Amino acid sequence: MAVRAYLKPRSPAEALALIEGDERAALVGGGAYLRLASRGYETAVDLCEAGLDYLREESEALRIGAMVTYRRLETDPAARNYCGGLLARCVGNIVGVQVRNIVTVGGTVAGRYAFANLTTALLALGADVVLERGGRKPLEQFLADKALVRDVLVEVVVPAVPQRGAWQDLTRVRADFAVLNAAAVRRGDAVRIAVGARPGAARLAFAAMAAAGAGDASGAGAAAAAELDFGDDLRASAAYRRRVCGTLVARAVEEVLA
Amino acid sequence: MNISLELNGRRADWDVEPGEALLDALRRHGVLSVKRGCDTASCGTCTVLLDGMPVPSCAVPAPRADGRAVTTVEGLPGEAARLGACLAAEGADQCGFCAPGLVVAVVAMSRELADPDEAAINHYLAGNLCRCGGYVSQTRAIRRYLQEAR
Repeated sequence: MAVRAYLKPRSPAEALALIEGDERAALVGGGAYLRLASRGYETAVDLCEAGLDYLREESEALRIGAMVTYRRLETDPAARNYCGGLLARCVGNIVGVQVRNIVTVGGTVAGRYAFANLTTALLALGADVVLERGGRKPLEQFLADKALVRDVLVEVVVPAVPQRGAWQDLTRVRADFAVLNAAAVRRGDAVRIAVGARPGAARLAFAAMAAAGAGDASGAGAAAAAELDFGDDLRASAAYRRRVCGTLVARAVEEVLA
Repeated sequence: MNISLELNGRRADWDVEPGEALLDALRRHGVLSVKRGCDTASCGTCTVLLDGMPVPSCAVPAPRADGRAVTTVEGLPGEAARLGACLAAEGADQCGFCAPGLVVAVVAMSRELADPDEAAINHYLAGNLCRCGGYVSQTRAIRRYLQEAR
């Protein structure tokens, strides 16, 4: 990637000031995709020294700084033990330890990558994102917001209340992107279900959530397969994904209902 | 732009391009043990330690290494000699292209995991590809190295 200047702001506010109104400035989170960027940037604004690599446990929330790496979701006790290890499980087989040491939570969420396991899990958890300018908003709303606003993702907030989580994905080989992924999170009698890598972006499966709330795991699988859209890509066909969706969602729901 | 890093225990003052990857900066400065494989953070052959943590140097911006410690296989001579001997003894050396990155990753693993079994070894090293397909003999060699290191 061609870059003219490389800056390391000391806070998200400073980062926002650097990118605001400058279409030629790009934020760098993990940096894993820098290599693949086809266009050059005047200014790279690296968040590595902006104080965003924290994991903070509060009474009812876990706050995950945007620069927390996937590896820390696996190794830091606060993240590893969160919701039955859901966050650690959803990233644990992604490429290798080296890549998980650089890929960040914020880079994943802000990039709105449709293949991202983590986004599917966060959607099922009912996560909020906190933006430096835009403030706190539900992840669903952030993902649906197509207007590209210049902003800095500061942290992701997930509820830390009694809950059970289950993770399911299918890959052609273990370290590959998922053919399909699914997460279920149960709080009391309510179950939230998200399905991603369809290959479109992760979505909540509302009919499946209703079936799961009524205790019907296989019904939830069938509902998710019926209500969501699936597409073809080099990993699988839409029809195959629909079949896989029914099975993965049913398994995830069985796990959280058990 | 100028960066100052600690390379294998010695201070290095380098002029790097703002958009340059650490892999390219290392190779441009003669650290040729760090191999260019896939160049897309998928194969592990460019693995170096950044402040002790294994990272794919092809995906780390060189400016990010400013003020930090970078360790390549040259900085791990004792471990490299012992693991290299195990790789040779188990017939796992094959073409050798992936070996420097593998050695760095195995050293990181041995520091991070107390007593990894075969499944834990395979999981930790899933990001180190070997196109010769030498995984079975590599795993034997790594287990032997870990046993001898104990």
